[in-house]
Amino acid sequence: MSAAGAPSSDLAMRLHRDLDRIWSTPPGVGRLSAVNHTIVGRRFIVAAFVFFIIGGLLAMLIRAQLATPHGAFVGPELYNQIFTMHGSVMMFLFAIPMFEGVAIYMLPKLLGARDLAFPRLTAYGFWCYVFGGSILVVAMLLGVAPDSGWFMYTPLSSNTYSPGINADVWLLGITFVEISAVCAAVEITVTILKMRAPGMTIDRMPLFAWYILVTAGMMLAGFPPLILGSILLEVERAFDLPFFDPARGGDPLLWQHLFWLFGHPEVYIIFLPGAGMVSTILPVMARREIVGYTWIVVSVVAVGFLSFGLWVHHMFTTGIPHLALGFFSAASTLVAIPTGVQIFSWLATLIDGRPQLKLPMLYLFGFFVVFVAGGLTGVMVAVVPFDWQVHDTHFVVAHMHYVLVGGFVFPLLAAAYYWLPHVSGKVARYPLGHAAFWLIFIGFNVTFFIMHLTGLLGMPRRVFSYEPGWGWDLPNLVSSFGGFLMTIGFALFVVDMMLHVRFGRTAPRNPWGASTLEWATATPPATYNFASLPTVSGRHPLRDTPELPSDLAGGRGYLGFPREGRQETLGIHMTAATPDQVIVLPGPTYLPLYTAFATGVVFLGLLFKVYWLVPVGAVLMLAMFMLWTRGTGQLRDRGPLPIGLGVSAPAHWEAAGAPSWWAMVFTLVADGVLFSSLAFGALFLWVSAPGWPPPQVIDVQWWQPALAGAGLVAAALAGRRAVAVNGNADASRSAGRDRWLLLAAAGHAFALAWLVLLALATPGPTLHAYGAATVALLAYAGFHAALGCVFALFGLWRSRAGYISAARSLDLRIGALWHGYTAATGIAAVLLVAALPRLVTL
Amino acid sequence: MSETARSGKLLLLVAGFLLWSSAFVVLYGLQGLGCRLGWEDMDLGPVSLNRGALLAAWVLHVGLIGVMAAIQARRRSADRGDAFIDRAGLALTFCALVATIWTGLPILTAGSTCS
Repeated sequence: MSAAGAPSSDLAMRLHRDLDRIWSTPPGVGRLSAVNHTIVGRRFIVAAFVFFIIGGLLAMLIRAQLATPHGAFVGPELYNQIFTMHGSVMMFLFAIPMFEGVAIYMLPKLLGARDLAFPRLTAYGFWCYVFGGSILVVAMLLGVAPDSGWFMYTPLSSNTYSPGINADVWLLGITFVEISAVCAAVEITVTILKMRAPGMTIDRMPLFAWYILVTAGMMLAGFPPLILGSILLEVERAFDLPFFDPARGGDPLLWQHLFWLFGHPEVYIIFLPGAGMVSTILPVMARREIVGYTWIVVSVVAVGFLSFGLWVHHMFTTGIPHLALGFFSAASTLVAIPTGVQIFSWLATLIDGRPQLKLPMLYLFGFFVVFVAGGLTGVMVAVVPFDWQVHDTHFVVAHMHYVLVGGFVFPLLAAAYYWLPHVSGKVARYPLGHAAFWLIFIGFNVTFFIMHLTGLLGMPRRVFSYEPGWGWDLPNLVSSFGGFLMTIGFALFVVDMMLHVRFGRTAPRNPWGASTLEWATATPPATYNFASLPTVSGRHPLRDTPELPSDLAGGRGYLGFPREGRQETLGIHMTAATPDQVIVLPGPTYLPLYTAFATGVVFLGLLFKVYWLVPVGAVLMLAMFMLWTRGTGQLRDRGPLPIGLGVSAPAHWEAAGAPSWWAMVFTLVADGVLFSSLAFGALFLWVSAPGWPPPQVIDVQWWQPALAGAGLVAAALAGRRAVAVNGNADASRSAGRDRWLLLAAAGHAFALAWLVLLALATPGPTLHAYGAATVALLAYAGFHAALGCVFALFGLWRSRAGYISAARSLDLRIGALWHGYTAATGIAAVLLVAALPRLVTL
Repeated sequence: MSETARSGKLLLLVAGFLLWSSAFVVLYGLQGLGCRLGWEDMDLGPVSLNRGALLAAWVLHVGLIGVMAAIQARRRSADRGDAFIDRAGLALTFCALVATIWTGLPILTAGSTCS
């Protein structure tokens, strides 16, 4: 079975045929069951581009309306929907999913793996994205699109001023899409840390992987506050719990905090993947290794953190004390430094290299000009007095577009031309890409450069009309002209892509002379990427070992053989990068699609206020997720399996650091951020909101929350004990393990009962934000306790069904993580509930 | 050493900035809390209680990050990947130290902590 030695070409052909049979997706309707990262990644990219076209058309409508004073193209109500949808579509349905698509498609190939860690999660995320996005687009076609701006400020988005379902469409549709983003973040993080090629220590990782790793980490920390904010606002709108209503102890600023805790890192979540593309493409175009690899890594991590210290710079005019503004202004100026380090590294690479002005490089020049200009205006608005002058004017619109289009769209266009030979196996035959670049570049600058001036002349954003003679007429007309020019450029880009794919010449392997692993695959790539997996000994595998592609294709690497018809790839030790497990991946299945349907039932039930549908959908969802576990795991221990080159490793369900265990760790990190945001919200309302103290507080005895906490602690200890007992060699293992699991379930159920009683005892959740916040904290703990029950009972079922042994303990260890987390946050929640009545009287 | 223990070394890359995050959240939270509890009107020697608390939190965090940087500066791993973590981690902790000093400077310069 070992792949040592050189197989004949017949053997190699047979290997490819076998792998193709194992990894292929069925044709026809069967395509809906695709979970392969190449296919789903391509779908993400195409879907995101469709949404980009929709967002672009909306932008054209905006420019048509603003081209002249008293524009009669659309009225204010429709205009509000158009600009809200433009921002929402571009941010949530284009930029994030597009980066996800590129990462999903590219990462395993760059890292030397056959797929991502959780293919079904990739597919589930895709369907959630498409369904959530479709809710928004259908709402727009029906004339009930969101209309409160892409940041949905309360009270404008509250029931009083948005009584229809427009705001609900945003809150639920976007949250649906955010599920996709969090799924992608977990999957990407685990894949980068655990599925790199053997030998690829973290200092040998491609820079693109570093950028995406930091971006995924930021998503884990950045998306939960928005998800929480959306849930709280939807709960306020649906059930009248007044989190944001200042007349009842709420505060609209809480929404702004939660939104911008996500919203500012979001800018960097969009920029960093673009910068990752630059760091990948630019050294190839410059024909020189990138200058300052380590400093780029340091800068990217620094940007990832510092970008979280900027959120209030969107709130400089809300009356926050000057000292607090000082903290945020300082952080806002600081973030320019690590960004500048990257710019100088790129410039140094170009100066010291032998740059070739091929099409991707042309787009990178566009990136440099536009992004640096946007970064400089960013430093300007980071300074409080300047921001006060231009806040909510078109200056900010111009700045934002310079940063986002410069930081993401131009690198993306460069990447499109750079990687299209990889995706399509073709190289361009026509020079349309050059013309498209100049139209986009000139059109963009004509549109947005002058918009700085429009803003400095005082024109506010989000107005559907303006008076003539205020100096805004000509700049607006020029901006509209530039906008249409840019659109022609993008249309030409689309035509060029279609011509490229249809009539392009067959691409040679590695047409740019790159040194990264994605060019070691066939072009277009096979579904399994590599017939055997590489060993990496430097940052430039293809330059260090030019014969690597043929060696891998000939099966002379790891896993260069099929085994039992299973989809196998390798897992490595995170830091040592030695193979430590064989990861067995699931094949095509409709389950992700069905699960996304069930998720859709929950969201549509909430949207149309058919609340009986919500639990039905939730139970369906749970049932579907349970079905995902069919066929995973084994009924007997297998021990180490040969992986080729004389090495053996256990299957992932027998390995200590299985991808799903790490996935639970990172999921809980995101969950922890959501809980922290909720706790922050409750304390923020007490400290800052008007109308406190509340008229009534919960009459809680110390032993009531203590009993709830005791249940959770018992569950956590029982979960850990089940893992420990499972590791014992004696014959009583199985029975002992099951008893502890049952106790864990009972502990959660006991805690849940007390949490419900406490929630019922909370006075007037609709009367004051205190009650609403208290119920929210208890609901959070209760939800986790309920899921803890499910985890414990699931472990019990797996144990009884024979899937668990001393070696196969993954299900128990994942459950133990959940039980421990639930105890920690549950205790924090009940402590806060018990403390709030005392705090509010201080 | 188990993977979980060894992968903990990756935390060295972000330890400094985790402390910076803590400093940032504590300073912002403490400023609001102090204003809510009227600490601006209570004296603590030459400064208000609010400013004193903020100064204490700031100096504590700067000190912690400084200690962290000193510890990291002494690390010498033989393994290639771990050596990279040592180098990059130290640089990041130093950046976090500068960032913490810079973001906390308004405590010294702001006229009032609450207006």
